[in-house]
Formats: sequence, C-alpha cells, structure tokens
Amino acid sequence: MSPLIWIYIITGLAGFTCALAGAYLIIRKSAMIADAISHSILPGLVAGFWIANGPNLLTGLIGALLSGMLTVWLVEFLTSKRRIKQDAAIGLVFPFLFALGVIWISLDFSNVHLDTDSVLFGEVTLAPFDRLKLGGTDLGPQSIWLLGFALIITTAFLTLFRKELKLATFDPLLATVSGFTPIALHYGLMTIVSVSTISAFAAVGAILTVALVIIPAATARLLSHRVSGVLRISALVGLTTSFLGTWLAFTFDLSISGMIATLLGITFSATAVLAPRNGILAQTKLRQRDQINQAIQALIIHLEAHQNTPEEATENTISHLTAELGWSNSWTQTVVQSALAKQAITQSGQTLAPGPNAQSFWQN
Amino acid sequence: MSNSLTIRDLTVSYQAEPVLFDIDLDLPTGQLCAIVGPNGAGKSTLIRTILGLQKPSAGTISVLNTPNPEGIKNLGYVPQRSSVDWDFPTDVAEVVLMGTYRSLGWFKRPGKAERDRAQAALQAVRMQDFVHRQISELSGGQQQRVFLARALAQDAPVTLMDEPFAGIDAASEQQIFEVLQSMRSAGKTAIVVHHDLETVGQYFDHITLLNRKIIASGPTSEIFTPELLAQTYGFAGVLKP
Repeated sequence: MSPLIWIYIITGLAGFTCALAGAYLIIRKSAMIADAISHSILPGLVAGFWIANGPNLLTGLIGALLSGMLTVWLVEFLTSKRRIKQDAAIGLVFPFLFALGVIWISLDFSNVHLDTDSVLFGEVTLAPFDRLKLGGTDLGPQSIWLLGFALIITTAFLTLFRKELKLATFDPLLATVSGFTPIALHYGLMTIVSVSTISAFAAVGAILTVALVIIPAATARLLSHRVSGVLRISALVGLTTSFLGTWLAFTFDLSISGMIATLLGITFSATAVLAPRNGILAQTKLRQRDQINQAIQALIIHLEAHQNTPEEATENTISHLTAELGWSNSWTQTVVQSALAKQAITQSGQTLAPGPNAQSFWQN
Repeated sequence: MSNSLTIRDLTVSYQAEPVLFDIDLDLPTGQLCAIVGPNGAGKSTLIRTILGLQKPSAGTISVLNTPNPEGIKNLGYVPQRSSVDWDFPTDVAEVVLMGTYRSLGWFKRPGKAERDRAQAALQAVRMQDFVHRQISELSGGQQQRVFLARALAQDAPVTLMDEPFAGIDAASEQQIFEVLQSMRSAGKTAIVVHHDLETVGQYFDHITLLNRKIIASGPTSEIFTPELLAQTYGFAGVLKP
C-alpha cells in the first residue's frame, strides 16, 4: 500500500481513538489530565529506550504507560491527600516529568531520532516507514498496530463498563454502595486514555494528541445531552477532522498535524456559535425571547390593573405605555406587536386590552 | 420487632480527634426515623460510616441484624442533592434506572424488568411526565424527587437519606413526605438526616438527637422535648416543639 493511504489510516485511527477516550474526560470535567499524560509519558518512553539500548517498541510502550499511570496516581495523591486542586496538581506533575524526559534525551540520545520538536509536533509523514518486523516479516507500520490495539481496548472498556462508568461518574457514592468500585474504574479509564495517548503521540506528537483527546469531546458535549451521544459524536468528529485535515494538508502542502489541529479549533468554534441548544446564537435568541415574554407579562399586568376602570381610555393606550412603563418607543412597538401576534393582548382603536392568550404567559 | 439498624460502640475519627464518640443506636423497622443535630454534629459522617464509605476506628454496625459489610446490601441511599454534578449528560429515566444497577451487578445491562421498576418509581414520585427531561433542566424539588425515585428503584428494605428536604419548595416537600409515608405503609424503613426542627416532629415517628454522641433516641413524643433539644444544640430556647 502506498504511504499516502497509510497516513490516512494512521491519522484516522488516532483521531477516532483519542476522541473516544477523551469523551469521559470532558464529561468528568478533567480534560487537562490528557495534557498531563501526553507530556509526562516522555521520561517513561526514554527509560524504555534506555533499557533496550535504543528505540524499542515494547519497552518504550511499557515505560510510557508506566509513567502515564504514575502521573495519574501522583495527581490523584496530591488532590486527595494534600488538598491541592486538580488543575494545580496537574501543573505540578507534568512539567517536572516532561522536563526529566527532555534532559534525559539530551544526555543519552542526542544522536537518535528523538528530538523535542518531533515529540511536540510529531512527524506523521514518517510514521508509515516505521515498520513492525517480526522474525524478518514486515507486518506494516508500527503505528497501525499500536493505534489498532488502543482502539480495541478503548472500545472494549467503554462497552463492557458502560453502566458502571456512568454511575461511577455521576454518583461515586451510590456506585460504591452498589458494590462497584469507582476508583478502579477511574484507573481503568486513565489506562485507556494513556494507551490511546501514547499510541497517537508516537505518530502525531503531543500537541495534536491533546487536541484530539479534548476538542472532539468538547464539541460533542455541546451537541448531545446523553453519554452515548457524546461518545458517538466525539469519535465521529475526531475521525472526520483527521481525514479532512490530512487531505487538506496534502492538497496545499501543509503540516498534517497543524492542519488537523486547526480544523479541530474551527469545528469547535463553529459548534460553540451554532449548536442548537447550547450555542451562542441559540442562547442569545432564547434570552431575547425571554425578555420579550417578560415584557409582555408586565404589559398584561398593567392592562389588567386598569381594565374596566374610568382611566382605561388614557392608561391603556400605546402612547401612555411609553411614559408609564419606562420603555423606549421602539421597544414598546416590538413588545406590542409581538403581544398582538401572540394574541396576548387585543387592540381596538388606541386602547389595548388583555387578549385570549394572556393567561398562557404564566404557565411556564 | 427486629431492628432496622443496630450500632454498637462506634467511634469514627478523621484526624486526631473523633467525630463520633461511642455510638450505641437501635432504630426500629417500618418507621420514619430522623437523625437531627447541629452542623458539625457528625450526621453525614454517621451516614457515610453506615454505608461503608468511611472506616470506623471502632465499633460494629448491623442492618436488619446482618452485620456490615454484608448488611449494606439491605440499604438504599439518597445522597445530598448537591453531591452530584447535575450537568452530567443524562435524562431523568437513566438516573432512576441507576437505582437498579446494584441488583444487576457488573456487566449486566438493564432490561425490561429494570425499566419497569424505574417507571413505577417515577410514577410514585409523580415525575412520570419528566422521563426524557435533561437533568440539568430540573428544579431543586424535581431533582430531589428523581433521587427519591432512584432510591425506590433500589427497592431496599432500609433507605438512608441525607437531607432530602434541603432547599426545595413547599409542594415538593409535601410530595416527598407523602412518598415517605407510602414507604412506611409498605413496611419499609427510612432513616433521614433532617435539619428542619419545625417539621421534624410532624414528619417522623422516631427521632435520634446527635451531637458527636447520641444525646437521645426514641419515639418522637419522648424525644422531641425542649430540654433534650437544648442539650443537643447547646443552648436553650431554639424552638417550640
């Protein structure tokens, strides 16, 4: 197969898997743990290479996984025992571990292809040439195997523990009382985040990995109000932006990681503006509708107070409203037009009166 | 009649100093039991310890004469409303369904039987019209009724509730009290941490006064006296029972 197709498969797998693994991080409001893991796996990776005396898939992977879990454990320890907030704990742990990795690289591996640039930004164009060889047989690019493995365990974990994860996330106390172990599920979840992050990290670098874990899930969270919906939409966004980003990068000869990360940013921004219920536009519209409805309520109260009284003819006219209710002319027009359209009020000549639908404005 | 809850020589400490001292407590079955005391009296700690969420430094707990941890299986639980994230992406039906998870155990998915149980529980708290409502859109009283429905779906003989009447409107409070009454009619026991001294005498059959140790525990008529309340709250004249 041509390297081009491999690159599509690698970025697609990375996008899908990371987005799926990241969904629960967003739901649990601890997205930054992905940032911590994706950086602090570096010393473990280097340690794995050091033990194997050079780049080695297995030892590197185990080392990275161990330092990922060490990060999770340290953050957990600092937050639960030392009363440090999670964001601060993350900020304490990962720069230290990442720096450790960087120093180790410059000490022992200054001539190996493990430089800080490719650690941060990745070089996905080279990923197809990193082959997995077993007894002389070429089994294809390493990244495919890694990411395929990550995808399988992520999907298996999320499917197998679907109800347990839901309960342990929403109500850990009831989960404990019900005989489930939220802390075990927490570490399980962190393991799949680590595995996904490590697999993607090797192919696309730390920055895009963080983007792929966090942004699709954050986008999905705006669009769905169910766990299953967040998971599905997140995976779909991860997959499509990865494919589209790769295609655009090839078409216009740009950085693949950079293009995918940019697309992710655009997708999220567009969703934040346009999402049907949580989007900025929808929210603004909702607020305007509330304002008009509140004004109509005030109008009805005023009309009812003066209805069938001697001063009705002067009080309940449009011109008087502007003075009495402290409304501007244009706002009065808007409110009265809207109230008439909704039959909340009726108009005969200059005089206004409560309409047939007046009562319905109080039922919600 | 057997006890719903039996506690002997219970002491619980977080740090150096015990929060609960030498607790001996016997609660009856089939009644509405209140646990009342000032802030910091250890009410929530007591609940957490009964549920096995907090390890005591000494003492034993039995539920329906079965010693813990085995006895915990007889317990339903309604946590404080503020203890969960109401932004969690789910609807009313799914939250109530969570009450059936314990009977399913690991891996097994809820089926028709569980859904029916959840539906019946929702009807009991008169929230059946809100099945598909997003939980973030519920009022405080509605949230509390959903929690109560979830406890009903747990179908436990003894239910512990942590401040179910906190911060809700009068109509919801009345409905929750009616649900408690129907639980009692069905022979179930509710053990409720309650803060409102105005209503405690009216709602509950049995009262336990707690302030880091048991001040008094017994039928409401014997316990709800100005002397004992003053002793619990540390000053006189707080109330008029």
